[in-house]
Amino acid sequence: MTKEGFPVLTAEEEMYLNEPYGGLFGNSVMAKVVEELVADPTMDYRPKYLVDVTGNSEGSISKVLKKLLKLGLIENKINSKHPVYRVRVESKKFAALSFLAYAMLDDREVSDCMNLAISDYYNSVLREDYEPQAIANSDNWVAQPGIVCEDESEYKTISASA
Amino acid sequence: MGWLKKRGSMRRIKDCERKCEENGFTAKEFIKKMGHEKIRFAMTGNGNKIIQLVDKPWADRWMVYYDAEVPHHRHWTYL
Repeated sequence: MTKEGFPVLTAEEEMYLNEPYGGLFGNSVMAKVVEELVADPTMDYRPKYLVDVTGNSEGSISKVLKKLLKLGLIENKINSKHPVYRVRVESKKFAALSFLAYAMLDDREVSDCMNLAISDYYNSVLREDYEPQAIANSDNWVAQPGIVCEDESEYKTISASA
Repeated sequence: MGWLKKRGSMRRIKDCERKCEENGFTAKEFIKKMGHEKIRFAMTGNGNKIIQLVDKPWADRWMVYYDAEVPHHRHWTYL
């Protein structure tokens, strides 16, 4: 604790501070920009803003943005005089990088952020495609012969055309 | 909140204040409202102030509630 009553980070905690993705990809301009974009996909990003927050030069930011545009992680905002970019949240890369950001935190702090995010993503995006909906309608039910018990009376199995 | 969580749950105060301002509130006010047991100020060894997310399960629930864990469609409005 400091005299103002603030807890002090441990040396290990400090190691991760300000390192994009906990240092997994080094501290390159690309890693810094990607982390910034993925952390807040709601924003419209101007190159000048990214220069300010990363502390890198305009030239290097511009190069990185061109590359990310090509890779489809960001898109140009149309109807804008100056270059403005935004994250393509539909991109799978965006989802994967979000999970990675949570994974870095989980491994360090034994939390469960990534699994929860995956479960939420599954429920809101994938469930409909991966779990066919069984809508039963009694009108279409048919009795299927074939299963016989020991006393040879026939069981009826019911199937529904969903 | 999502921004902080995806930045390793701690960030220099300068960066946090900037992000809060962009969203129309102050970091100090937010921490006060949420409670220090959930999100707090802390210090690095060399005396730099940071903001640290403490209660991750709470942050998870908050983000799921606001559909902000992994936004998959542009469901926000540009003003």
